[in-house]
Amino acid sequence: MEGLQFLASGFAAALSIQNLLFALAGCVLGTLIGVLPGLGPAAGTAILIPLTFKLDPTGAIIMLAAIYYGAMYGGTITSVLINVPGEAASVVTCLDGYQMARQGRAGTALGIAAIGSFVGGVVAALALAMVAPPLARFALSFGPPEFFSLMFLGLCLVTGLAGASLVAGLLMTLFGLLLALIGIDPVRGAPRFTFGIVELYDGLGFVPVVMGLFGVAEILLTIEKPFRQALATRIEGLWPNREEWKRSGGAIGRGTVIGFLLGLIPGVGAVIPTFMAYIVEKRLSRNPEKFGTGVIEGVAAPETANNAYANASMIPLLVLGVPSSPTIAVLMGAFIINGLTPGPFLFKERPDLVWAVIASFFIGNVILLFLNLPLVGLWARLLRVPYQYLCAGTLLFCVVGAYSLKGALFDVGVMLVFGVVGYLLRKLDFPLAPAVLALILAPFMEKSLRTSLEISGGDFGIFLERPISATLLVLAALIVAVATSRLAALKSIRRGP
Amino acid sequence: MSQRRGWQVAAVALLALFAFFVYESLQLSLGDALGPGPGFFPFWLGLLGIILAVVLLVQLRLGRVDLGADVLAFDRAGVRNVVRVLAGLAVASALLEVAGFRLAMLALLVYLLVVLGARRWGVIAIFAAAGSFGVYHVFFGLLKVQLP
Repeated sequence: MEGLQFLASGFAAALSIQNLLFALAGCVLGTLIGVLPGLGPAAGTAILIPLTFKLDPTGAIIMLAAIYYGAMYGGTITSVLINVPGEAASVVTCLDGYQMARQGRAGTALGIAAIGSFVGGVVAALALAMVAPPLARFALSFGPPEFFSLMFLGLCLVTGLAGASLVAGLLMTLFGLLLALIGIDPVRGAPRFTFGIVELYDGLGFVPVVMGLFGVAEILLTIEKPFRQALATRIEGLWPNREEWKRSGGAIGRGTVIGFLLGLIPGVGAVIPTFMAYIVEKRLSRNPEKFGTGVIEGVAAPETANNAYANASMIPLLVLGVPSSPTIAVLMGAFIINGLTPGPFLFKERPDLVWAVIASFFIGNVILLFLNLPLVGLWARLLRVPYQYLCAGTLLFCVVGAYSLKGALFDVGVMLVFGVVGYLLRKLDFPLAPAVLALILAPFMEKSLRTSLEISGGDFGIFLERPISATLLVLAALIVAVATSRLAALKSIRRGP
Repeated sequence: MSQRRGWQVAAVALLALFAFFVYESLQLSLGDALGPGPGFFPFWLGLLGIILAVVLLVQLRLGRVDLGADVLAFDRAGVRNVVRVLAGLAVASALLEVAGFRLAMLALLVYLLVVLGARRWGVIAIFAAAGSFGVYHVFFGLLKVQLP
C-alpha cells in the first residue's frame, strides 16, 4: 500500500498546470508519431528530445514518456485504415483491424482499441505503483556484479529474441557495445578510439545514433517505397454494441495480464506481447478460423496488451535501470541527458520525480482516451497528407534535433552516417534493437564489470559466487540455449520432413 | 544482389571493424595492478566479435542461416531518390553554420520536396517557409535552443 501513498504525492505534482500541459503535448505528439507511417516511437521520441531541453527534468520526462505511450496508441490508426502499422507493436492489429475497416467497421475497431489501450494502460500503471517500491528496495542490495549480470541478462534476452540468426543478433550487440566505448574511459579517464578528434572525447552521442538508425533510416526506406494512401472509409460508430462488448471483455482482461507480465521482463520488446495476446484469443475462441477476417477480439487483445506492456516496461527501467526496447532506451537516454540515472537509487534520491512520472501515466492514459475517441477522425485525416511533406518535415526535425543537442555539426554528420548504416541493415534484415540497447547499457556494464574485477582482484568467480548474480547468469545461459534450439526447430520445420 | 551475398558483405565489414577495435585496444593498457585497463573490455568484445563474424560467414557458406528473402530488393528509382535526399541533407548540413539555419533549411526543404515529386509550388513555398523560419522561431525564440 505504500505505493499508493507515494502515488498520491505524485498526483499532486503531475496535476500541476505545467505538467498537465507537458503530458498533453506529449500525448498529442506521440499520437502524431504513431499515426504517421515511417516514423516509429524510438525515432520519434529521440527527435523530440530537444523540445524538452529547457524544461525541468520532471516535465521533460513526463512529456517524453507521454510521447512514448501516445505513439503506442496512435500506431493502431494506420494499422486499421491502411493496413500499415504505425509502429511494430501494431503489426498484429492489421490482421483483423484492416478487415473490419473494409467491412465499414473502422470506427468500432478504433474505438475498442482505444478503450482496451486505456484499460491496459491504467491497470499496468496501477500495478507499477504497487510493484515498484518493494522491487526497488530489493534492487538496492545489488552490487556491481549483480548489476553487470542483470544487464548481461537483458542483452541476452534482446539478442535471443532478435530475429533469424542468433549470431547476427550477438554481432549487433557487440557492435553497439563497441560504439559506446568510443570516448573517455569512465574508470581511468584515458581517451579511447578518438584519433585526436575532439568531438569524439564525449563519445558518439546516443541520440544522433538512434535518430540515424531509426529516424533517418525509416524515412529513407519510405522514400524508396512510399506507403499507400488511407482507405476511403467513414469512421463512425466508435462505441461497440452489446455483443461486441461481450466478446471484447475477456480479451481486454487477458491482454492486460499478458502485456503487464511480459513488460516486466527486460528485453522482450513490444511485438511479442501483442502476438501472444492474439494467439491466446485465437486458441480460446470457438471460431478460431474467423480470426483474420475482422473479429473484434483480434483488435481488442493485442491493443490492450500493447499498452499494458508500454506501461509495465517502465518497471525494469525505473527500478533496475535496464531498458526493455529501443524506445525505452531512448527514454533512458533522456534521463541521462537530464542528469538522472534510472535504477533503484532514483527512487531513493528523486522520489518526487519518479512518482510524478508514474502518476502522469494515469493522466496520460485519460488524455489519450479523449484524443483517440472523439478526435480519431482528425488523426485519420492526417494520413491523407502526401508522404513527401511528411518525409521532408521529419528529416528537418532530425537535423534540428541532432544539431541542438550540443550545437555541433558533428552530431548531424553522425546521424547521417548512422542513417545510411541503419538503412542498409534494415534492408538486410539485421536486428537493430540489440545494438541500441547495447549502446546505452555499455558504459554501465563496463563500469560494473571493471569495478567487480577490482573488488575480486581480477577473479571472474565473483559473478558466480554471489547468489543473485549467479542466478541471473544461469538465466542468461538458459535464454541463449532456448533461442538456439528455437531457431534450430524453426529451421527444421521450414525444411520439412 | 542476393540476400546471402548482402549478409556476407555485412559480416566481412563487421569482421574488419572488430579487428580494428582489437588492434586499437592493444595500443591501450589491458590491465595492471589496479585491475582491468581501458583496453580490457574493447579487446575481449572485439575478439568475440571476430569469432562470431567468422561463425556467421561459415554458417552462410553452409546455408545454415534462414534468410527471409532470396533477393535483396532495391527499387532502382527509389534508391536514386534516397541518394539524392542524402546528398541534399549532407550539403544543407555543411551549409548550416555558413548560411544559417533559416536559409539552409529553406533550401533543403524546397529541394527535398521537388526531388520527392511535389509540384504544387504554392504549398511547397508555404511549407518550406514554415519549416525554416517557423521552426527557427519556435526553437530559438520560444524554446531557447541555440541554432545557427
